[in-house]
Amino acid sequence: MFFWQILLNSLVIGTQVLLLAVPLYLVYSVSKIYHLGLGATAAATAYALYFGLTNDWPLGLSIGLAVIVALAVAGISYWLLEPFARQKNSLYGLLTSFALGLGLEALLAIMFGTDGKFLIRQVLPTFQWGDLYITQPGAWTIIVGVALTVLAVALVQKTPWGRTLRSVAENSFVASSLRINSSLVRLVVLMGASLLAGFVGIMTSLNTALTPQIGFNLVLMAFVALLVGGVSSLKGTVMAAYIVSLVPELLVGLSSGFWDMSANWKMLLVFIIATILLIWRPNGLLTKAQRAVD
Amino acid sequence: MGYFFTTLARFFEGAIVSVGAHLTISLGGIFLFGLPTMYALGAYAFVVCQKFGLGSGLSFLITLGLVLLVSLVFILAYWKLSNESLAIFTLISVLAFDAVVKSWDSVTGGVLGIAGVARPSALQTLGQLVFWEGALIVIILTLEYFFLKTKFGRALLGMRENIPLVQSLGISSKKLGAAMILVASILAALAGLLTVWRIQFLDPSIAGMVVLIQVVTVGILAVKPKVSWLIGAALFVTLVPEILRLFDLPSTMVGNLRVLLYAVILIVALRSLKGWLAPKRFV
Repeated sequence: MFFWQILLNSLVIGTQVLLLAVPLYLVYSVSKIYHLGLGATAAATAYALYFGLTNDWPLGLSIGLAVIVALAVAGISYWLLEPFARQKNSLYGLLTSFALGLGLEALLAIMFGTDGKFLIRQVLPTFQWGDLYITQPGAWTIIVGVALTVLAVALVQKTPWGRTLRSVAENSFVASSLRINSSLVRLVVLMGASLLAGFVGIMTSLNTALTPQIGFNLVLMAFVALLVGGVSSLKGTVMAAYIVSLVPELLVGLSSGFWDMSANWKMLLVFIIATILLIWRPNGLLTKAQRAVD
Repeated sequence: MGYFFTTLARFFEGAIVSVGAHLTISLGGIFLFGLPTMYALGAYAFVVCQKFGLGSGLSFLITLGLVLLVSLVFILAYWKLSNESLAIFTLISVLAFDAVVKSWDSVTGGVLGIAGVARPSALQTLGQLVFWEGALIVIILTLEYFFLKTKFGRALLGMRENIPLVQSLGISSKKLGAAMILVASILAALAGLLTVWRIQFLDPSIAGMVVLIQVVTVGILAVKPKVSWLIGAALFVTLVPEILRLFDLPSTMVGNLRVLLYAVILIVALRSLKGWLAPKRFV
């Protein structure tokens, strides 16, 4: 029973990681930039909701503010990253998004402080099955997360819009010659990615305390999932997101009584798993070996 | 005088890490984000060894061994992964090391840290420490200056522009990159050790994102293969946050303002220097 409870809790975290890995994959696909600032976008959106709720705004208005903040950060990200995406200068794009993320987190810390904030002040409502239980925000994270991921996979692989997106990812110059506005595609993807990241930020802060760094650990876990799964494979990313979340959670959970590993060790376990998997399969778990052509 | 010596020591320590950032990020185009890990590892390994009663020589050897071991992991990642993936992978190492330090409190002192770190007998006063740090940075910068004049130094510059060309000249870019990662790691560990001797206190906040953004900012600002650019960038990054002292700000806010300031500087530098940063194609 204890094992199943840990598995259930791990599924929630795995889905949060997955929900951030999908927008990272989408942004990388169209711009070849690892957008490290998505973690801070998640935190900023959650803080916007917190601001609305603590100032007694109606829920709809608070959600509206959160959406505006997510879209505004997407706009800033687009303005900062677009020159590097056009130049195919992914390294300096990565650095810019890193600086944007750290700057945004520092700004949130200055505005709201670094102490934990709570979106829900009372005890979290739960669903119960015998001895097993899950918090309602956790259950919604799993349901909505899986639904959104399936939707994203279907959208990218089965629709004309997905083909447009993949064409920009493959060769933006050829796409432009076919009258596809690559910059617009990148802007739309960044907006969608920011909204998705914002959703993750809100769902995470419903389960735990909201701090400016809430998105950073999660976005790094999502990056590990992206690297381990293979940056060109959405299925591999989905699989890796659950592996890098479930294995540390299970190891920490099941170690109680033997070594009493604290939850703080999880990031070290993620690093060790990433090291092993990346050295074993540097191109990703599900990526087939290709013959290099020069 | 104390403030002057402290600022000077901070500049010297920053410059030592920055030499590593200059060799890897600026010149080699190797995005090694794990320098704060090495910075903290150098400090923690030595202090923990001393805490358990080991002599200075043995503590130093163990520290060096651990630094080499972690460098080996970074080198493996450098060989196996793309440059962006290396950046992310080494960035995760910063958080992983932070997790170890915070969790293993019986050894590292956890979040409370280790107080009363003893300085070596030759570095008892802040003035002595500053003098030796100054001497050390002069030696390191001189070595870097002469290294950049050698064929390997030129090959390192070539690596950022055109790796196949460097390989066609019979120089292994893999081995050269690995050597630079090793040198940068040792320098970062040395800077961490010097910092802990200066502040005589060690806690998890010694490294982390603040050190990383400082190092990366120097790495980007010191884009030219000149030692003078490196000194200028390290000096700029050390002195700019001192502006905040002019305002009467709460201490909790100052740390976050420093990060915000570095983030803005880094973004402005990347946008304004991108013509110099991106490799140019000459036809």
